[in-house]
Amino acid sequence: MNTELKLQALLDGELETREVRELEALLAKDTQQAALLQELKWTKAAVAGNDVALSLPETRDFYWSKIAREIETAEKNAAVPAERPWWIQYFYPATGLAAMVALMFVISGGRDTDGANTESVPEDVNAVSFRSDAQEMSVVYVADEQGKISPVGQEAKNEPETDK
Amino acid sequence: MNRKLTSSRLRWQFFLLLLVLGLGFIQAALASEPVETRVQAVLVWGTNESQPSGKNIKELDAKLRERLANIFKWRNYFEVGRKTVGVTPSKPQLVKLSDDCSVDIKLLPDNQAEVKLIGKGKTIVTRRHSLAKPDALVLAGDDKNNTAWFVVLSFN
Repeated sequence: MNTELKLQALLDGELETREVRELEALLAKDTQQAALLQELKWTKAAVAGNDVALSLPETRDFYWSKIAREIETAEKNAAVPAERPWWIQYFYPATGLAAMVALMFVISGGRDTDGANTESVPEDVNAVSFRSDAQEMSVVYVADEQGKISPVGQEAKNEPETDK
Repeated sequence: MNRKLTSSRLRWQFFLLLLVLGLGFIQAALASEPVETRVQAVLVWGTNESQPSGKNIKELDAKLRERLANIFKWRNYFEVGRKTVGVTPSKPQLVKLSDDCSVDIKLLPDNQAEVKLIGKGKTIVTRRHSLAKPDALVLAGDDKNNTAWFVVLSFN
């Protein structure tokens, strides 16, 4: 460090005690350096309290970097998902369960089989079918006035065989 | 902490998904097993006369008697025979209700049953019956002396 810088540092109080002593010894011998120190002290005293407030203009890069930071901040805020309602975590499993139940219902025979109630009889047999909603009975009635095809045995009816 | 919460929710959702899938597989397994259908067959004789003194005949239970009397004209209904059997799609049943009467019961796809009424060795009626409704199937016909016979089949 040259002497001028040391003088400036001395004026600013930035030197150690040992360096201060060395510099004071030098100033006692060198009147030119002592005059410079005195001039620096005057300058410092004149400037103190009279600094002009200077606002530095923003550079182009700094101006655009501010806009870029604003955009990044807005994007980060938008990327954070909104708080979901508590029931949403059950919504998808419940939907899956409902679909599964519906599928099982179809598989396990929930289909309507209306129209399946049909009958067939031999050509020599007359039959009529109907349904009683009130009694929940589907009936197939065979017309056989002579009782030729009666499944009820004569013994059960306690009738003589000759009645046939 | 927020990440921890999200992870916990994901675990719950995964657990629920597994549960749903498990229940689905159990249901599918149960649905694929052949379920036995219990069939009760009752041979009934309807008449306006009083109870004959024949063997193996008794008054029909009141509930079934009332149901038949609400449809048919006869006043008295007597039970000649009653059998209950289990039927599966792979195991049809031939139910003998009297010396002259038997019923061949077979389960078909689409929740249907096929019933053949056999009288004196001859197929009298072949009926396809839907099991989707709780209806009983009544196969009936005229008998001599203004009486009638009924075969009442209930599926459970």
